[in-house]
Amino acid sequence: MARDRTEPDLDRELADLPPELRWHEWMRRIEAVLFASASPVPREDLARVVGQGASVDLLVADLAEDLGGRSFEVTRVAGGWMLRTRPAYAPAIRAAADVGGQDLDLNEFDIAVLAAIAYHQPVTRDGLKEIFGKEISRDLIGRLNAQGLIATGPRSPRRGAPYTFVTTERFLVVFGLESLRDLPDREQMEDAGLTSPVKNRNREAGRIAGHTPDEVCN
Amino acid sequence: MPSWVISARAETLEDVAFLSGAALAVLHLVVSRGEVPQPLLRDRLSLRAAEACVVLAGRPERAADLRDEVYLMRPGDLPGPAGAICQRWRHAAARPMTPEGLHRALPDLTRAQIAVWLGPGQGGPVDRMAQVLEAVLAEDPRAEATALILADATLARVMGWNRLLPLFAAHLTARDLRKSGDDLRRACHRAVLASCREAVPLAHDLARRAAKLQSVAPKLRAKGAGKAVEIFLSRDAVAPSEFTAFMSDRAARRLCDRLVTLGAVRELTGRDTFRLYGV
Repeated sequence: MARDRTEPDLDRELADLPPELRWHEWMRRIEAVLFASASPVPREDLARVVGQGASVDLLVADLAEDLGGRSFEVTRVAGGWMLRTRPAYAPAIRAAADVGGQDLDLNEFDIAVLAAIAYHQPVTRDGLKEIFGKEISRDLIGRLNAQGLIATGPRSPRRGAPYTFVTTERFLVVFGLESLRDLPDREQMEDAGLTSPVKNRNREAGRIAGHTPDEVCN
Repeated sequence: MPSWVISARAETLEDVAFLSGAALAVLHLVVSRGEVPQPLLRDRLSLRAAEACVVLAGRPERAADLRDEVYLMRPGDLPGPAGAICQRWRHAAARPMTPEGLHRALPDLTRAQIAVWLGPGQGGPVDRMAQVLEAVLAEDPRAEATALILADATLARVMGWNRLLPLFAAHLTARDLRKSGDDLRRACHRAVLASCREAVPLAHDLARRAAKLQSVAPKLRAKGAGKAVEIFLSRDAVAPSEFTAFMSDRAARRLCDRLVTLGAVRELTGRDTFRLYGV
């Protein structure tokens, strides 16, 4: 994210427009910025295209309402906003286009490990081994890393200073989470009788990411 | 701190407000004294505030874990969620209180929003602090760290300090943060009182320890010892490996051991490896 992009031609204040049109134009600008961006756009960036002192939150709220009848919506993820198609249209999109390339190539166990990292981060491979009762392969960690879902965190203060793993912003985006605090509460899941949280997370992940686990290992 | 401020019990808003004002006046005098190592005090209070925010976020990490996360990170590593909160506090307490300086500590606010809160506002320090908390948390109830950092910044601004002193976070409960109006203001006054009661002795203690460290400094013969002492006086904790820029790894470890023997610094982790030292 560039710090100080200045765009001399952009009239932020739109002083010559009547208030209502001005507001509408600001909304449209936010819509355009979100439409053009593949990643969540933080408030600070949106504030740069509207008037000084205009509330980005109110503009986004109005935009969300404006998009009420459309097939896409404004969602708040990873500390910013994104435009994304409504989940109801996922089958239509899959039927029309080959979205295989965008699919996360993760099997059930990959997702279980990813969930464990999300809940226990920062966690080392040894820590994961304790959770699953078996060695987690470097291969699997590498796969999650290559997808940009996890990254290396601070070293663990143990022999050999092993890396810990933490989830990334992309993890939040893929799973539609605003922050890590949106992860389902572990105790609540157990209370609800979902004693196998691994399966539950998988189902949810599949729904949000439009991913169907095709290959089940373990 | 006078005993009537320490031991007095207050129930009404007026009484609590009176005591919190008195406590702030004492704190102001203490923190502006030359012998208090300001950066060290701020850094240690940052850790305390970060721990409180981590608890508010429902995470299991505590101060020792936060230290490990922050000090064992290498360039290019991402912090964990708790480490990230800790970094925000340390950043906020170390930077000048301008929208530019605080922006990294308050990523969910725009510079314009920060500027508004730091600008001249209505009411006294504690009223403004309550306003900040209420406004930020109304927008996003989970933005406790943002609200608390900004509240401390507002106080520091009204007190005329040039840097933020992390005070309140550790003394406001999740329940307090859900309050509004007079209830919130009472909770804020209580938090001011409690945080001053904690910060004043801490400042005295650190001043004493800093004096001790400075008194043994001439005895240190290692090359770069002076630089190391300076770092100790500005940071909550130090890993010996951070001295390797100006001394050998072995010399760094020996220097830390020697300082512990001289009673000038403490080892903070209780581990044999990956040790962290602090005044």
